[in-house]
Amino acid sequence: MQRKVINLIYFLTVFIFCSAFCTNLYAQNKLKFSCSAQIAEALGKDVIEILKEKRGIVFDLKIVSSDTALHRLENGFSEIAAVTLPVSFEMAEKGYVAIPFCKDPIVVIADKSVKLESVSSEEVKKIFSGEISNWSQIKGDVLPMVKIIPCETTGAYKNFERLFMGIKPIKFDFMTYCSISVISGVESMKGAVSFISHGAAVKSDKIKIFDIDKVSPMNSKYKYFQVFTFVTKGMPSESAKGLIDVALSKKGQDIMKEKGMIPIIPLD
Amino acid sequence: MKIKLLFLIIFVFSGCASFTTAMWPEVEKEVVGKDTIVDEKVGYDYELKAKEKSFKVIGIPYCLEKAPVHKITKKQHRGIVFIVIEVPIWGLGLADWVLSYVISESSEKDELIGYRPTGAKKECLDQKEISLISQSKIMIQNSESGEVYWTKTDENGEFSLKDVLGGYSGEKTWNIFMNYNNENRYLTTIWW
Repeated sequence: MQRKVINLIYFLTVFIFCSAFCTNLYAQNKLKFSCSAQIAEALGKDVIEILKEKRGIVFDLKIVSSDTALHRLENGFSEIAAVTLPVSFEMAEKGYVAIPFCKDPIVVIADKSVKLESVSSEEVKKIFSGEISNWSQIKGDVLPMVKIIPCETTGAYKNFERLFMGIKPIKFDFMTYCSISVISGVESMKGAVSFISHGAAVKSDKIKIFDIDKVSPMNSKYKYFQVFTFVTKGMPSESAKGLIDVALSKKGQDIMKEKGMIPIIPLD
Repeated sequence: MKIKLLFLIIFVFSGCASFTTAMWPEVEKEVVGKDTIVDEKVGYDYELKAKEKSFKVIGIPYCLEKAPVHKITKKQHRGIVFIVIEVPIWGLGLADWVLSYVISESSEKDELIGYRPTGAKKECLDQKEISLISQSKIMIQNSESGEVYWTKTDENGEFSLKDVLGGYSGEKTWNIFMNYNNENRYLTTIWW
């Protein structure tokens, strides 16, 4: 019994001394940021680096769906959210501040084995409603279509449904939890087709991006856009304002334009 | 009894932990210090002061707070496992532990390598002028549709929303931005 007590005391002593060796780090200004996967993929790292370099602001970044990002904001888990969904009037009445900052084309992507360059909007509707299931039905090779879509809670799903499908339900073969995971799915499956933001799609050289109705997503006449919006609960904090200002800055806008996005608040 | 005492002494002063600590190479790490400084002016914070039917834009200079960054090179306190094993068997080993601690602490070298922004803004110590931001472009954005309207501040840094949104019906939230020195800055959001 005596030995056990001595051993216990000693273990505790060693533990306390070991803990005392930990160095306390001076906490930098941390911004809790919930970001849609599409926005994080398109802009995230570049903007984060600018913000860290210029203002020393460090992110506590959580990449989730747009819907989840708004819920996290509502429940106090983040100070600012970046979403691809429109913010309702009801939310504005409750005191949420929405700042749309850029538009990004939503594009239809396919595996590189598909030998087509353009599809019509009507064909896109038929593909994702299940009426077309083989590429040969739209002048491609005889190759079955594999439809991969992002989860229903994502901004990509909701925006695509609104812009292309109307009242027709979406039919699919695979569904991904994270919206940008559709890119990996399309890269690895022959005949695969999906939809995602242009800013995220251009990062991969193993997929092709279709023109819609023979209009390229880089063309100003392209009609299918998602709007990227910053949302805060009440007025943005100083750190959140820093992030917003970086997105509106020349450097931030140059990054957006490089990836085919259109800044909503132009500099000139 | 003497043999037991001898073993005890050997294990107390065996030096497993202190030997391991001394022989292992030093480890480098960066530590941000707490003695912050206020650096030179880096920009203006813009505030919108509401008057009766117009707004005034003022600029308050701010400086960034910076914290020193130290490179600390030190031998890590190692061999805790040896001490933990020794103690329950022999009830001692503290001397070994203390010796390895001394080796570790005495090897510490501290070098200041620069300053890094902490992210906090501070009032500049020697420049406290507040400027009226005159003849600057003001952008007013409908937060629902994203549509942007334009106006300019006058020589007093003032602008009126009524001039821009006078014909608009229905209550909406509007984001107000300013373009100054070719940079866009978010000012505030209002109901109109």
